[in-house]
Amino acid sequence: MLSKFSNSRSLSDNIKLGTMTAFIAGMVNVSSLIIFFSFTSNITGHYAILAEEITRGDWHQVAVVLAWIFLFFFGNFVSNFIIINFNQKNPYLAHAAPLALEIICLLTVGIYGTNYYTERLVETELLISLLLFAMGLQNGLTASISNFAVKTTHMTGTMTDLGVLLSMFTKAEYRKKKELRGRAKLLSLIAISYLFGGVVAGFLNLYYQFGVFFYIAGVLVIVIVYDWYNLKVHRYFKTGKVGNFKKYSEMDVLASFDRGEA
Amino acid sequence: MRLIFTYILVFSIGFTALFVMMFGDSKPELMIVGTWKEVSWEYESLNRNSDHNDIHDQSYAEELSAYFGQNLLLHEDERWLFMPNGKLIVQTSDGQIKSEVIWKLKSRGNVLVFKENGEIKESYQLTKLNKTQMVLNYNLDIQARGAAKLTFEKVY
Repeated sequence: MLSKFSNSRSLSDNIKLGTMTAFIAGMVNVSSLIIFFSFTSNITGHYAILAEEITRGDWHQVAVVLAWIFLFFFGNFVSNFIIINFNQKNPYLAHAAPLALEIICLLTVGIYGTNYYTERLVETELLISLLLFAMGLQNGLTASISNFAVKTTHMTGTMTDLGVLLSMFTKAEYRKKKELRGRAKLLSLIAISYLFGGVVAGFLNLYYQFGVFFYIAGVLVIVIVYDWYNLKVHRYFKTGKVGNFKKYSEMDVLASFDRGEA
Repeated sequence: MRLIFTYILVFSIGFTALFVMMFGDSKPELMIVGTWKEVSWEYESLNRNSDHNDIHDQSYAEELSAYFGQNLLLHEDERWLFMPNGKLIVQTSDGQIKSEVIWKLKSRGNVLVFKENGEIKESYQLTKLNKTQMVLNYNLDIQARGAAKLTFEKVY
């Protein structure tokens, strides 16, 4: 799910990655909406708010929204920075490290929220910042390793692509293309998974509040362990050898950009 | 050189914004503390003329509740005392204490919630807050402002 890169990924790899991470993003977004009254898995709305605050000249609010947007951006930056710099040394670790950082962010929010949160505004703003950074990390990772096929923290692009694809399927020539059908399947599952994650988080929030973030971190641990199991343990039992991860160079990453698949 | 400058610029803006968010003192949390007198009610979304006295009309209150699908809590001619310790004392015009709740600001300080026994009792969009005036909109949806608009003036 994590260790394969770019064009070596199958539809099944992308579906696993997409549904799991979309589920997490849905959970994070709904949890932050319930607890902090703010979205944290997307920043389109924050751009609108930023423009409004600039118009009003409320510079402190401008700084807050700008910081949030920056942290989402910075999460994407850090994620891809790790991937392109550590891919050759250890691809699995390079891909798992952004998720490990995301787990640390989520656990920090969960632990702080459960034990120390007094609902002061600066605390709220900082916890939202951490969640936006975490979602940036996740989005950067999934987009980078899937050749930009999987983006799971926001639904605008997903719905756009799905709308375009469904309109294409009104013509038989497009319906026959396996690649397009696969893409539609992937996007549909991402949307369903995101929604399902949100609903689950909504129910869990009724009982656990900040404890939800421990469950979300748990799902991420499953993603990391699943991949490790699949590539090391599973291969060991099948072949008697410890599996090696395919190594990707910086050029693989750059090539994925050059192909214009972004 | 140009690339380095771009990197420095982007990260400087980002981290400066983060610093201002953490240490800036223009916080709505400080500005809201004090005594506020309610000066007007307005209804923005319903197809009806705005009228302060409409709130006394029980059928209208029921209509509002039905429209929003929940019990709309009505405030009229009140003084709200926001204490620095997070307590809000709601007084009637003759100085009687009507209720005491806990106030908290959420999101980036644009959502005002009132809590009682740990549960959110009411929430408002804090659409305007300066040294003299505060405007609240009843919170219906995170991306939409409510129909009921309450305007307050700061007493002291």
